[in-house]
Amino acid sequence: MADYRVIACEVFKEELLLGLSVPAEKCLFLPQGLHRTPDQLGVELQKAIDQLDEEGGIDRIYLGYGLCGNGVAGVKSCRSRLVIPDSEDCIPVLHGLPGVGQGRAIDRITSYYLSHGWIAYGKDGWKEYERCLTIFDQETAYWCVKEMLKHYKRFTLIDTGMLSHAEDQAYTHKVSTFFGLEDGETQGSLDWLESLLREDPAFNLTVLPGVALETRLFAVNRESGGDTAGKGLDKSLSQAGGKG
Amino acid sequence: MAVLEDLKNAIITYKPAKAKEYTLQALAEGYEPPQILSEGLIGGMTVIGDKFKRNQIYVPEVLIAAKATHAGLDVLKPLLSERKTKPIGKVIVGTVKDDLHDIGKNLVAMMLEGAGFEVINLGVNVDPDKFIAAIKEYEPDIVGMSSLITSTLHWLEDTIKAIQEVGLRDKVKVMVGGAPVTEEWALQIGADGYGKDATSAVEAARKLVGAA
Repeated sequence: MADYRVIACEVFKEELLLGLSVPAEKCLFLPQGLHRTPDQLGVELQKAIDQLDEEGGIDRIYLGYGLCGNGVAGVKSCRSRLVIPDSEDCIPVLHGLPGVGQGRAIDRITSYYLSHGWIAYGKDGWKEYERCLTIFDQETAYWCVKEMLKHYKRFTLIDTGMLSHAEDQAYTHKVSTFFGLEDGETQGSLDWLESLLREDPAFNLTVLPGVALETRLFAVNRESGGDTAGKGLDKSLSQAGGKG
Repeated sequence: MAVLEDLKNAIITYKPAKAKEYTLQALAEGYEPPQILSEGLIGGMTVIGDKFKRNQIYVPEVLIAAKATHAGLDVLKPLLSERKTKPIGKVIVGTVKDDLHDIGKNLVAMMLEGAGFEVINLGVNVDPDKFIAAIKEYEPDIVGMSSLITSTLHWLEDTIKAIQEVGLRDKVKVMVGGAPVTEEWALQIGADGYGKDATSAVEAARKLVGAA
């Protein structure tokens, strides 16, 4: 029977391996920072998919990504269907399914979100500050990072129930205090990632082998202004032919 | 020319105080403000932009280099204004609604000013109505919009449509940019120009006003 694989951003590593007990041998994690260079994210993701296509033996690949700056647009598999959360990026996925729990109230404008994966693998204000200290004096390093954070009011930890929660809380508190921001926390959930592995079409997009993921398939674009963004796109079309 | 090279290096090595000092020195040595601007300040920021594009440096380094450039610009601006040189074009720039990222947008604004454009910076979280009001008030040649996150990308398209709906679309050229913006997307949503980075944004703007 054909098997599956998960290709995901490191930000979801603990949630997938420990939270949802996905066997490690079925997962491939790519570096967390690729969303900063969406073109590169697409290249790396396609390379990983091509590798799985070459190895054969699988018929579905679950992508632990969102649209991520359009970085996933254009990727496709020759042999497997691709399933991906219908989300702009990891932040809503970590919050959990729409309409479930309080954590769904996402405030990107004033909250700088952290999660276990962001803390473990990402580049946040504190890590950037430590890097800057190797280049600049303390005052300049602090100025640079404060400037990067100037529009944010708080660091908000998304609690997805990982074992490291107490450590992550302490880290969030330390960073918030250091940069003079509020220290926040919101309830996250594993349910969106879980729905991905179930291929729930209500929250995830599926494209068939040979069909590329497209920007217009994602809800963030379907809901926007006009035709080029896919307004009114039929959900069945958005799934590019269903699961096959 | 040594002082202009020193000025350029002050920016590349992230030294705002030195940048101001060398700008003053260049003036004292008789260099014209436009030459100090282009060869010293913008010369330095072009190197910074190139390093950033190659992932050799990151946002903090760009910020401190921009601070150094501003230190020199603050000295030159009054002198450049006195010369009453006609700008090669007028641009309004802003980050779209719900998006507060402005580092790249400010960098583009600074590079455009350095290239001889008059720039009106509307700031961040600029909704379509504010863009429209600014078009009416300033009558720019170009409207430049930035979006850095996937969730605000649609505001680029929505703003272009809003400008169209009030009958101003043929009065201005529209440029878009930001990490998730691709040239293909820019064309799809009806933009006239696209800049992958600050340097190419300036090139695109120059083309749009027929100065390239």
